[in-house]
Amino acid sequence: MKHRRRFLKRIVYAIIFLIIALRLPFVAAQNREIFKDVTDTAGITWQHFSGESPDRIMIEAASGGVAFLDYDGDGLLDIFLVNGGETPNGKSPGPIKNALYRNLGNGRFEDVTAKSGLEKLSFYGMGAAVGDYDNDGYPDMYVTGFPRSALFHNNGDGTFTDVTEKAGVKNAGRWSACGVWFDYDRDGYLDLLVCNYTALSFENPKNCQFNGVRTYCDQKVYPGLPLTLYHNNGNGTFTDVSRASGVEQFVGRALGAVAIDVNDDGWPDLFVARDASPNLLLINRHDGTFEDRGLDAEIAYDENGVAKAGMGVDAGDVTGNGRPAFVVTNFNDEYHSIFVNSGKFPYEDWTVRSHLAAFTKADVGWGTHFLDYDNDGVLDLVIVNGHLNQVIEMARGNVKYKQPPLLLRNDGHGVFESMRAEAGEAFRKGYNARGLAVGDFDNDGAMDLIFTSLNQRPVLLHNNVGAANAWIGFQLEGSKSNRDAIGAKLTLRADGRVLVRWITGGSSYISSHDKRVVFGLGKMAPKSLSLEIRWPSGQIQNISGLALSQYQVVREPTKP
Amino acid sequence: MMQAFEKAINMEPTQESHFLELGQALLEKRHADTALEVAKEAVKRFPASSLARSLQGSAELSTSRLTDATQSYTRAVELDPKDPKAALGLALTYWNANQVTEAAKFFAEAARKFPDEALIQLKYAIFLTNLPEEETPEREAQIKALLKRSEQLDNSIAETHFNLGNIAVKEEKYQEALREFEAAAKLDPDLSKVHFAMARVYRRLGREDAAVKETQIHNRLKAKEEQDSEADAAIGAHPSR
Repeated sequence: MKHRRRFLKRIVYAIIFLIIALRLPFVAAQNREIFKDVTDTAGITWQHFSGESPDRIMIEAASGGVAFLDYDGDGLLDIFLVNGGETPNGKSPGPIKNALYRNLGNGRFEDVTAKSGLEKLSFYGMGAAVGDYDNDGYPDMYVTGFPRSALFHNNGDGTFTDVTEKAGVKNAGRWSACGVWFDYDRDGYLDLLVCNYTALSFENPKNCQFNGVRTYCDQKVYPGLPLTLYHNNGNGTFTDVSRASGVEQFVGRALGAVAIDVNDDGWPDLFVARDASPNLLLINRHDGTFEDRGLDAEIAYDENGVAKAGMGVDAGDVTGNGRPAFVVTNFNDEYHSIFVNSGKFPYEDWTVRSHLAAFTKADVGWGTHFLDYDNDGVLDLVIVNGHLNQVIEMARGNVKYKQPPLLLRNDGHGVFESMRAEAGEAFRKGYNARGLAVGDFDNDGAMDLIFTSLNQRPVLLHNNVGAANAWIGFQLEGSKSNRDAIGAKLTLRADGRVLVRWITGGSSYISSHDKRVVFGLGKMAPKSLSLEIRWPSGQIQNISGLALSQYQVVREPTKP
Repeated sequence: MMQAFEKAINMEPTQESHFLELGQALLEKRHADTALEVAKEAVKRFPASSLARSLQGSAELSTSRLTDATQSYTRAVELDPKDPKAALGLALTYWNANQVTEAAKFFAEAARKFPDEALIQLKYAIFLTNLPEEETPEREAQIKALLKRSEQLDNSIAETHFNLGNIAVKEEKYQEALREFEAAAKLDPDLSKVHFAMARVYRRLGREDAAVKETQIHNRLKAKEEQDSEADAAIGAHPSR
């Protein structure tokens, strides 16, 4: 009897131990949460409105641009959110407003939209592209949309003025998605590429059904549009050079683009992600024109000659070879793509090798960005997802309408692992996410995130882990180059380790990131540290004696 | 043609083959919803027929009714375990539903049970090629063996040559790849992806003129394919394979 009681006691203890042991990883995971949702505490209450209607007009499923920018120059990143708009049968109970949130520096944001001049648009809003086009030190804003777009000049006093007509960048009659600021002719002024998506009309919407339920039509039903390129004249006006530059010939459904020097010749090139149209790799020919080398790079189509549904795009060195690789977000069943640039054509398709295929089979991807979230010196990857078809689950149970974002950790060689368990609650919940912007809003050296979700509040995520590692940040100010230094290449040498980053134009999906560059350096502070900057002007600047764990403003020398 | 089938059905409503032929013709003409109606009627009239269930599964697969398609094909396999079409349909349905483990099981089973069915060997190879995990040398060898077996059984399937060509491209055996792609193009001149693949090889070989020519053919055929697809297609409505 005594033995039996002892035996039972042991079993009870074993069960208690098992319960605790099983629960421990869960508790630990909660404590280790990489990103914490701080939307509520930050005071961000704005909500997106898409004009969703029974007509199922495609634009209802595509808007939600977001930008990190320091609009008032106080050294703290603020947030701008672009609203969608009404459709003939998708009316809003109240006025449709964008939102500008000023960072108060204490984790909270103040809604300053009403006095900013950015509150309302006269068109359906899509995305935001931030760039200081007049080099006055204050970031300006291009807002894309349908059936036009708008340029807002930052007056430097907390207000913006709509200068679209004067500047000549209305992009009239077109449904535009991404805007990309970059200085293609290296004259020191930011030019503007506008991705145009498809022909669209609110009248007579197309009727497409899925299992008897009306839903959005396949994108191929809508004809694509040419790209628009505006050259900055340096006097507040722009000239439409779409034809002269050759980009007008590239008719298709463009949604995302990133400007970066892909062949290291010092001139900015473009990777354009297009939806069921071949992706483009537009190489700058140094004479104001571009040549598409997408077929040579083998980034235009998949192996079967099918153009995937490219939406978001970003570029960064994920293998440590010093050259930009590309990520493109696509539709479910297509996998999001990674192309590694080995310095020659064709680029290598690393979609499977990187493990991205395994993580993204059921996802419809939008905003994306390479970021070193843990500051270990290796670029990781974040992607936000969400389907368009409200009834997709009726037939495809494992393809969800609302989909969780992905945080993928790079092993340093371009192979990724999912961080879903540790990434935070937001990475385990489903969203209809669209825009994604990355930036360090509390200046702790760790990259934070914000993403939008159709007809929902945005989600602001604070990075809890990056600041634990050594880091160094740079804010570049061009003099001969454009003030934002878009197009600069930064090479950091730390105890023999070489890290390469670029200040890119565009990237993600209809969104705009923090333009500062942060290098993560891992656990150990390096003994030797030096930085080489190749400015967009071509000037090389070498800097040593760098201090860790802070941002440094680097101005382009006026005399080489 | 469709009217002829309908007429035949009216004349001989007890003849199962009329239903099956009409359903198949409708599927080929991309009238999948109507094909489904025909298939359901066939199942009602011939409840013990594996072929009628297979037709229903095929129509359901074409309209992305994957849960229904799984049930139809499962029943078809139960009714006639010797029906290769049903076995293949079941594997394909699981694949389309992203249920990769089940798909792998049913593909392997079908390939084992029907070693002389070229299409099953081919589709299993394509399934293995498209797995999201990186290929191991063992899997590469298995894919190659399945394709070779398929080719041996039936040398007239363009898709088999296309896939053998793609393997040769991966191995950088470009002349071999071109031979396979040319064979595929001969068998099915309207298959746009073959010309895309040939252009890719020519580009890698620096034969720019040939690449441009093949790209033009690809673009022309692709445009036609898109034109032929349903004008009112819903997004995400079509299975990917």
